[in-house]
Amino acid sequence: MIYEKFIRVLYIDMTAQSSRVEEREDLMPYLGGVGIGVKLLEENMRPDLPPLAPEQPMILAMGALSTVFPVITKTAALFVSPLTGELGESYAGGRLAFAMQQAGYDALVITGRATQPFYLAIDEHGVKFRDARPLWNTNRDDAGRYIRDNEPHARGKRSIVRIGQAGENEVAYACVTVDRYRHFGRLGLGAVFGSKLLKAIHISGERSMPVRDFKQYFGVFRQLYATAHKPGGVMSKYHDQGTPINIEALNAIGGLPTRNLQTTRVDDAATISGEAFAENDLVRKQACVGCPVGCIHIAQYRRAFAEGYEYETHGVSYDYELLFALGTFVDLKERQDILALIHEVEVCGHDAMSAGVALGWACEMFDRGLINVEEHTLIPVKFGDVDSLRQALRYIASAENDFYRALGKGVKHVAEIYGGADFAMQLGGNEMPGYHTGYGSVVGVVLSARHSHLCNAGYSIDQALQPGEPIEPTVVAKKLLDEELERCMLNSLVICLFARKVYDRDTVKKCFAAVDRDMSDDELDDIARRIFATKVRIKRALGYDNQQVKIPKRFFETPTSYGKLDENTANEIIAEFNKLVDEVQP
Amino acid sequence: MNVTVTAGSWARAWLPGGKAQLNLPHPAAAQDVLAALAFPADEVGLFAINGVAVPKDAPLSDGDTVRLFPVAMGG
Amino acid sequence: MAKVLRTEGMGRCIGCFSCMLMCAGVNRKNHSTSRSAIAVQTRGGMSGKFVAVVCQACREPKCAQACPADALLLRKGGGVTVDEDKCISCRQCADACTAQVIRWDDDVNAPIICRHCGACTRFCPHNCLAMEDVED
Repeated sequence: MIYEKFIRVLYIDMTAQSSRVEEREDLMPYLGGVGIGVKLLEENMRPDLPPLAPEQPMILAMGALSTVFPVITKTAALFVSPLTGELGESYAGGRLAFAMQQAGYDALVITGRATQPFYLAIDEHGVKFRDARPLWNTNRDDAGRYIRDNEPHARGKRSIVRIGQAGENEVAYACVTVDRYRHFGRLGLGAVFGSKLLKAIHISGERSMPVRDFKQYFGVFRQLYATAHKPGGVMSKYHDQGTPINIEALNAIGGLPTRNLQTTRVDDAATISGEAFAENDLVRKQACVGCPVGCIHIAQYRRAFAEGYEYETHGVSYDYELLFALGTFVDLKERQDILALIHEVEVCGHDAMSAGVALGWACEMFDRGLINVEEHTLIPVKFGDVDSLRQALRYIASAENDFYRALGKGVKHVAEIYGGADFAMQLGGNEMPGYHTGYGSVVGVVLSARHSHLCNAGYSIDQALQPGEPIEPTVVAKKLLDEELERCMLNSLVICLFARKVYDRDTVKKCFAAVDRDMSDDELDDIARRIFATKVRIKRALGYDNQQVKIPKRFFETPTSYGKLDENTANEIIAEFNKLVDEVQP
Repeated sequence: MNVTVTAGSWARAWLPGGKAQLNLPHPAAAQDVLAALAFPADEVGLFAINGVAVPKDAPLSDGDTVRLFPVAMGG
Repeated sequence: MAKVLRTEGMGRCIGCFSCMLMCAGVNRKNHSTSRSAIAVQTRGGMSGKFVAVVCQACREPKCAQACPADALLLRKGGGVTVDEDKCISCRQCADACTAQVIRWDDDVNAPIICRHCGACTRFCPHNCLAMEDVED
């Protein structure tokens, strides 16, 4: 919290239905966000127990500069991932960071398990445990509405984070929806909620926060607002088409994962490009609190439900990762079909990326005759068949049979049972993101702490190279680590990584100075290393070993936009990276 | 030599209308169209000449069409 | 010529709250949107629309009529300005306003009423808010 000399932590025990607040001065060197999140995770996690054991904690942490400057919008979630069994780290925008700040909490630490479904109503005065039995089995829209209506006296601005059926049934990649259009998507936070019988958190507040040095603060704010908002500036692509611009960009270079990564190009990218969606289906844009960019693109999904021109309409938010996972990866070619599948994922409460990759594996297995309707899929699950794919998502959410229950534990797990590990497109246990651009994207995801392309932007390293340009494993490893370290600090503020270019070191220091907290480059470097070292300790304690990770064969068989990858070179980069890590965290 | 430059709507800040005609001196490479348009190099992920992807230093001929593709970005 | 705030462009609102953050910052030196005179809210949740709840610059403001302490002074162009020294914190102004736009500052125990300064209009990325010239 700005202006404070401590981190305010709200501890909530779902078993005892109690809570307490601690003011932790000792957490100040971790700044906020992922920093305080990993420290609290390390303190409270139980490496001796399974990820969904009641004793395991989940932490939501806002940042050291949340909301007071433009595009510093996110909240970090830290937990033991039921998908990978190790570090769970996820980010979401929406209103959560602002609501936490207004309620007066830097972090929530939730442990235990309730005896019946609850949602938490949290404000400045404390925590109320609300009976959520009528809300169990509701989708994220209905749940949000019931909760909003059940809290008419909430003061100030509110945020509602909630799970769907996937979380209730502990699907290992179940997401948590934040304020309708944003998510803690990856690594299964939704299942952690579900395992605690926690349907949702409603948090609100209207805490007065006097500005200390208005002149300095306003000067910095105004400059950043102008930069973030400038037409044709560094952020304008996120507002215009948004991230769907990547369909055109990645298809052109041959880095667009298609048909379970059998290939990296689609036949007609123009029909599903960001431009096509924007011109035909986009109806409005939205922002997270404190962001003038407004990158949330909402399309109209219009579904004919019966003869006689009977239509229902849904607003579906679409981003690049969804167009890949629920589009190109499963061979859908019509925009309305892709929106239909995204809508289904939202209703079920799955992480869109993992769900799409899971479907991709299942389609290929079915295509090859390695799984069948009678024993496994209940219906034919086929590339390009939107209705069967929608039904499959529902079966995963409800864990309809042994096959779907296994599929709901991730492609790595389900392939161990049914085969097809070579084309189960996961890296480090997390389903792949939408980039097949080179060593940076593939090895970068394996090496990064939370197995995400956003930890180190490996795809950027790849795109800076000409196809086939010789690479130096030590150089690649260092670039990946340097970027990840910097993001450890940035994710403590917590910036939205879309504004990565706006928040260079000078800007970060200016922001801190404007809220009366001077930071030097050395201090920021130390903080980054401290946070990274904590992540490494957590991963090791939970049994993760970078050397033991096996990259599925297809990552080396399907050429990237840079060219075909070679396993030896990949292993060299991994070895170099591990050497560098030992220097940060011996 | 005369070349045509095209790009999608993402480039409208630097290429309004998505199309421009340029007259460049011999010899010229694909990436040379950028300076003529004051187009930031770090916004371009790929060049294509007459529909075929090329390295940024590929040579241009009279009458060529150069298409610019955006860089893939995070999210 | 005086100016008043108009909110005709709310159909374009993206819910960033930059207007609220700046109003609270500029006018009350506070980081909390609860100190903003303009309130942007949803109607029908996040999938519904955004609306602006803010002073309508009445020529004959009910709030001023209801105030027993003469703390609300008529403003050129419509609306009022608040004299916090005279305010006795009775909240009759807030009750009187049909449009329910008057908010409350618990720090000073006085009403927060838009003074049509225009700060919010300079921080709306979609020009949803604008100042209009009106007769004094």
